[in-house]
Amino acid sequence: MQKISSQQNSIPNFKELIQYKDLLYFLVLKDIKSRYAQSVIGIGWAVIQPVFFMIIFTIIFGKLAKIESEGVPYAIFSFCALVPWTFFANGVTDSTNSLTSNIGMITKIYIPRILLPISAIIGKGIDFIIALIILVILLIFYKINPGLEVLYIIPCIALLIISALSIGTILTTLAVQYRDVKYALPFGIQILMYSSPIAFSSSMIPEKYRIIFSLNPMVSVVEGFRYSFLGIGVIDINMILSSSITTIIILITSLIYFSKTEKSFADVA
Amino acid sequence: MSKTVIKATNISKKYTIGTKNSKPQTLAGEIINFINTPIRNFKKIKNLSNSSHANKTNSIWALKKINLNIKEKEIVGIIGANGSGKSTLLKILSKITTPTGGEAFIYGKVGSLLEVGTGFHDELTGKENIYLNGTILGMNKNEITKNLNDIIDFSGVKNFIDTPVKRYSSGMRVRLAFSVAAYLEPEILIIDEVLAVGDASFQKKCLGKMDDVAKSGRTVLFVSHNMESIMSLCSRVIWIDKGEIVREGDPISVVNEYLETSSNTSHTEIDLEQIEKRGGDGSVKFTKLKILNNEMTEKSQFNIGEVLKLLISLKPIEKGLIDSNLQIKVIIKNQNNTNVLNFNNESAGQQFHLLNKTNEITFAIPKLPLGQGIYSISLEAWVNGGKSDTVGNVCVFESIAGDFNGYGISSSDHSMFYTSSIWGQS
Repeated sequence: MQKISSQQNSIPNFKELIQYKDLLYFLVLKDIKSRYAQSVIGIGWAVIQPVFFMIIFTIIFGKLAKIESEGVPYAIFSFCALVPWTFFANGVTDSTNSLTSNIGMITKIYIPRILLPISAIIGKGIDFIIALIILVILLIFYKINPGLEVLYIIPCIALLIISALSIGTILTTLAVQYRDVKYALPFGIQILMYSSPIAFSSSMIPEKYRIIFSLNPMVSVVEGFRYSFLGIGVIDINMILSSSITTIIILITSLIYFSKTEKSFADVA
Repeated sequence: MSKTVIKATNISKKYTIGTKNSKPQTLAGEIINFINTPIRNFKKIKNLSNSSHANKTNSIWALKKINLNIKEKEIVGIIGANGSGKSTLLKILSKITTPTGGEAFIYGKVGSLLEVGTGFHDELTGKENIYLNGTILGMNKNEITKNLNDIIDFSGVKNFIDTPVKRYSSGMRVRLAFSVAAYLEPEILIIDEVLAVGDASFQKKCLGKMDDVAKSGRTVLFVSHNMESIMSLCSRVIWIDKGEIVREGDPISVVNEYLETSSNTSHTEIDLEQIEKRGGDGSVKFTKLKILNNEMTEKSQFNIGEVLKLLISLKPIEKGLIDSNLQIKVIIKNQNNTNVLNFNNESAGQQFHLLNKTNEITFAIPKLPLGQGIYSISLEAWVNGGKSDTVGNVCVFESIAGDFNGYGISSSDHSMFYTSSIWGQS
């Protein structure tokens, strides 16, 4: 039995998500196939974006500005950060646009709408894996041999996915009603990139500001990636806690906000 | 007594609609207005989702205290004019939107079809779209795989099933989309006017499929403007007007009452001057239309074989065209918006000239040849071979059983057309 009334849910209906797992699969497939359809380089674009950023960063920040890269070649120092960052930036962008670009699925049929931002994030997973492979090739090229600390990548990836998903979910919910989000997003992402240790190291941030600095979840993710693969990076329990707590707060906020707003999507979209 | 599958009590829905901004008169006012724009926009957009704060003037009640009690295996048709709230009701029952007040209980798995081909993606192949669209409609992968061959056969696009749908014609696309929907097998099916897709033969196939669905013992709730399919499929009809249930009961009596009321407007003469959606260069303008029978009484129901007369008035707008050649076309369309009869005075051997006053044109079909159904009338005026004014679907009439040949035998068969015939025996 289903009850229909004006009451709003405050948490997502997880049982229903399981019923729709096949839909999630096909949404991800659609996302991946449509992204690289009718393009010459196809999936190669997943490689080009982080590699070009790496080249530019190496020239500008590594060679010209001579930013300290903790003893490893600047190219791999920045690429190691660009792998999670590219996933984060593209995942947040795609999931933010996921509801407004699928209006028909909101106003003409009922599906658990949270599947749309989720599928956008998962769809970026393939690019992320390709970027990871490039990273491994670079490690071999620079003869860097990570030890057991590479396992630390697992909690870092979890933090990365959860933060991208929850930020994307909040923004896509806002974007249904306020299209401004779509215009503000590219520069918001840009600001976040420069406030994350992509081109520089967190060690350049004065000790007393580091906790505030790492309220940005990407700080711990990026430093974690550097630690896992390169054995460098600033690993500080306070910073990790700071990033994790923000992520959990954002996650809970996003789920509640989404569930409360979901029922009005069809009316305002 | 079979069990209730949909029970709705006091379902209401309020929508907030946009209001016009007052325009400032002065430059200073304009500047302040410009600065305030974001704040005002914010309030306006915020109110879209928050109807409780909206004041009376910019909100409308799409549904007012609707009560429904639908039993298992019932086929219920919902009829009503455009904007009467039918689709809103279906949207609420299919969980797309929530009611502002009231509640409903649904017992069973619901499948809703408010549009065919939701989520179709151009870059995916036909087969991939079957899966995507099918899962959107609530099927799982195994159910689709089981029916895949049937779906492909039904759609008739077998040869293109591995081609991206962006290479499809619009007809192929819609047929593929409908085929997926046709294999949706929920316990309760909610359908909004999706039968009118594809060409005539495909439509026939769809109606046949609908018939099967109805007979397979599922509960169906469907909105349609096609009274014929409502009458042939439904076991009960609900007529909604301005968000309220006007009447519900057996299909024949409710549909007849609905048609009588809704065609009331065409009893009186129709004012064509106020119609905004028109074509042509505007050098003449249709002003009035009356639809009459032989006794010159205005009506909207005609027996097959009866006289149907139109009294058309139009006036010249551009005086320079007075005395020019005037051609009037009368177009009769059926419910699927297909032209069934086109008339013009010249092919009937009559020449008209535009007069410098209200031009009164009379037109008559001596024996109405159209089979039972609802038809609409469109008019066109051509001056000197140029299209001057057109008004589309300005009034409707219904053709009902009648005696076409005048031998006292009423035709109750379902011919689409009637004409006289000559028989012999030797």
